[in-house]
Amino acid sequence: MPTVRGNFSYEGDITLNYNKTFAERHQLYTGLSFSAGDSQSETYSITAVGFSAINMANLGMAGAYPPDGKPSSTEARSRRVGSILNINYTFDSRYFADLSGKMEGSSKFGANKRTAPFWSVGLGWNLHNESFIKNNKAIDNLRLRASYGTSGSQNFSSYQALTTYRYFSQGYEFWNGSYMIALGNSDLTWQTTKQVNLGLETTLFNRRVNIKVDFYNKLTESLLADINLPTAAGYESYKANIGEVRNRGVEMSANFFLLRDPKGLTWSVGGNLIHNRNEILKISNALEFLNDELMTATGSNPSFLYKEGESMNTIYVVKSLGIDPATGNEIFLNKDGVRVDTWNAEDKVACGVDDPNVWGNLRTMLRWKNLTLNASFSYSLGRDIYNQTLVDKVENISTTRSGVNNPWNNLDRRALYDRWQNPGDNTYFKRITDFSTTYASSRFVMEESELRLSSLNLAYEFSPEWLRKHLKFMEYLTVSCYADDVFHLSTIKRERGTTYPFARNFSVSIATRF
Amino acid sequence: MNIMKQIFNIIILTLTLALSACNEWLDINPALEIREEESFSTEQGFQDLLVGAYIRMASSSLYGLNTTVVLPEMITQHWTVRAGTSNELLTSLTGFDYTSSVSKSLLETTWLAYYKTISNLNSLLAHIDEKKALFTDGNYELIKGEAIGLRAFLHLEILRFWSPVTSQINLDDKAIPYVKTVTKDPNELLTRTYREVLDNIINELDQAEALLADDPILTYTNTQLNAPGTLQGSDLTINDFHYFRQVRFNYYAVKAAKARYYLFINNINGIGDTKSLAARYALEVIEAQNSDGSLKFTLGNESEAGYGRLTFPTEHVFAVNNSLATTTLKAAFFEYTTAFTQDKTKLATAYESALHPLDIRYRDQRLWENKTIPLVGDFNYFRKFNDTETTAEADMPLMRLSEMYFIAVECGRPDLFRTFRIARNMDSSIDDTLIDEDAIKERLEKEYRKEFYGEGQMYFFYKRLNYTKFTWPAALSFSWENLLLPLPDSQLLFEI
Repeated sequence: MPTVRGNFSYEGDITLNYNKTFAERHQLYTGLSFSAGDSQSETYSITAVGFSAINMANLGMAGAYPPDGKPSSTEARSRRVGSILNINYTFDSRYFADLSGKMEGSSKFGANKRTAPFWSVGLGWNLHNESFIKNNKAIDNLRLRASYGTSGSQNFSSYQALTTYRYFSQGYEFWNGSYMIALGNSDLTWQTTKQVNLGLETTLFNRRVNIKVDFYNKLTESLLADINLPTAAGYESYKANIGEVRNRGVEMSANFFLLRDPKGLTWSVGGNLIHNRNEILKISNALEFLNDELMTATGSNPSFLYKEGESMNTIYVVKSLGIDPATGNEIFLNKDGVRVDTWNAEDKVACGVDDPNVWGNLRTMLRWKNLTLNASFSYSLGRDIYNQTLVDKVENISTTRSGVNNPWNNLDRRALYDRWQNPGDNTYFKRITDFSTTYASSRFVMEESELRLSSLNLAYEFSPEWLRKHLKFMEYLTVSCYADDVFHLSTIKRERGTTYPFARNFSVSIATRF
Repeated sequence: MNIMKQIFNIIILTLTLALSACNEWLDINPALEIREEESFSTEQGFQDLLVGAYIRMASSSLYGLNTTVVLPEMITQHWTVRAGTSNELLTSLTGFDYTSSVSKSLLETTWLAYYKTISNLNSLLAHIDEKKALFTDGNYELIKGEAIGLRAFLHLEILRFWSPVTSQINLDDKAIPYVKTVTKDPNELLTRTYREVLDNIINELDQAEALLADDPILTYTNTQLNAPGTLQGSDLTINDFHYFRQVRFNYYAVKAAKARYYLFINNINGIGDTKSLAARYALEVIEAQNSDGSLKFTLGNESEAGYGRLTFPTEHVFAVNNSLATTTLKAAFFEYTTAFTQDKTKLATAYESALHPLDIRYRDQRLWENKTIPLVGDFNYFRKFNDTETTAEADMPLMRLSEMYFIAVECGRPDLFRTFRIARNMDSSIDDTLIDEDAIKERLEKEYRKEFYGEGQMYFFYKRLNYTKFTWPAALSFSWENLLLPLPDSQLLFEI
């Protein structure tokens, strides 16, 4: 099946720069650039059968087309234009100001909005160049930054904005037929983001300490997402701007050299910490409708509804009071705060957020002569998780052997030992004789904090002197051992690798150069 | 700073100018896609969308396989697999299990394909009136009539699948969505009551009937319409879009759909007896004549059957043309791993072969070919849709003349059964047996199976007449709920 590919693209750029230093202390840099591009790609493929000799793969050697065979092709073409204006101004290497403006246009965007403007401003202050700090030996570098900017993204295909039709490759008698590709949405607009950033960078004590702190507030407007429809529409979903989301947070990173001796022992530790709070500020009517639908959904999966004032990853389940020791049935709290025995989809409330409070990684490096040890940990604290495997393996087990996954043969031992059996049993899991489906309740929402040693690496680099002496032909030689996912500590117990195999790698490698 | 300001203004001005000139440059047309405004700028665009609906109907997800051979025929126990093997979908559907993952996915696909076809028609119909001036040769009425009629027909089909047995239908219960617009408003895509759905179907069939009053099928014979070229050069030169009326939703398809409709609503609580209306429309199809007095649709004969054309093309009131039929149907039926076979002795019972040895469908292994496969043994191939082992009939019938006969027989014209019996060359001893309603029902149960094996009509027969037991291939009792298909989850999620 030979495929012919054709790609054609071109790009054009014009850049205009203007630099000037006034009165020795004012530096101005301006740049204006204009660019345009066109890219086309086409493929044709033809399948043929009946080649007389196995090594004669040229298309002309084929005997025939396969029955019902036909050539197929793909085509894609897009054009874009963009222009950027940058102005940077520096005063006395102490104060900085940036201004940038951008116009972007692409053929992929809807006809009414092919181009969009974006801009940003930034200010910076190099405190270490100020006279009151300049002479402080402890401070190598200290800088404050502030910026504000807008940006846009448009991750939808052209046919999602405009209603477009495509042709069937199959004919009908001697006619051709077309069909609608998707439900177009002419109201679709760019997803725009406004971001404020405040930052501080410093290097202290002869570059032994390095600290960076950033605060940000990011407002995403006209958030793009798929909105599901009743399938009587003929389509399962369409793209729409669904609302406004704010992400607010802090990012900190630090690195310390505790020991620094190039010939002896060097030890550094570092890490970062991220805290982010996600909040939905506004949702569209279409999404509100979808929420109502999701609210009535039953099943063992929790719902992720989009509600104003909550995080996008909020888990909605029915509040559970646990298992009644007398009967082995689960007791719920309905939305009016009354104890009830039955699970009702409409009693779902926000029960936790599937986002950690803080997360990040920690790393350390220890070097003694030619031996280097690197370890990297990742951690996260205070994340709520719906323990799906626990529900599936202990309570929602099937009583027949005909199920697709044949669950009878793949049970957790707790399905037999830890479920309620006799009145008075104080258990976490419901009555053992109850084979009904366990629906999503807060009983399975758990707070997770975890620490993982994500990679460990030990390397020995042979010194050039040693090599010259013993292995003359070699210029460089390193032997290293590597392991990933060495251990994993978590506050909750759950199975891993039930959907995708869980892997742990160990490797030894030798790198050399002659 | 004044100079700076001026420079800045010039820059902004240049950028704005450059970019606005670019808007046109950014407007490119993809080669394999066509924009809405372009699609509706020519008559061709409307034709293509209508044809697109038929092509989707002919695909495997609808009448090319799933809604004829698979879904309804599996539920009515028509298929089995070779002893010692199993097929998950067959096990689910013959056990009336509509919640297994294979059943669910089949129902989802079917539902979506039906409504996707309807969306093609809706988008065409939304634009056709404003572009009326584009059309020539009466194509405005033809295309609009076909599209409205087909929309009603498809909703009736969805309704027949997703409704319970007749006695359980209440006019004010929710049935299925009736979708007439291309819309993103979920409220317009929710289920409507039986009353609303049925009113819409009959209203739209009436509109289609009026619009198709000049259908070429009324002027020309099917033989002429199925042989483009023969009319060219003569006085009868016609528009290319007027050919092949049997594979388009033609004037008689509207009549046949009405006959089906009145039989479907017969005896629904609150509606009463509509048999005379069903018979009236069935007879209009049966008695339809060409200008020379010959019949428009004729019952299949020995030579057609001998050739292997067991769907009897001269009986097709409405069929869909599937150019990939050979690929699909060969794979479905001519493998001994198929889930579409049946036991030899059971088939002999179904076709009453001892009584009717010369039935043109069944004799000489025409419908069922018995073969001995090495290492596998005795095996029955179903060859209704395949002329030979290597070619299938491209036209899959959706409504046939024989069904019109059965409707008439059930609705006050049992005398017509004899005409059908003679055409199929069955034994004359059954001629005078249709003495009362029960006898007619008993005969029709057998005849629907023989005639529509693999075409799916048996399932609707059972639901329509409130059956709670199958007698063939084995006795099986069930409750009415067992024949009721659940709405797919993707729809149900939105239903309050």
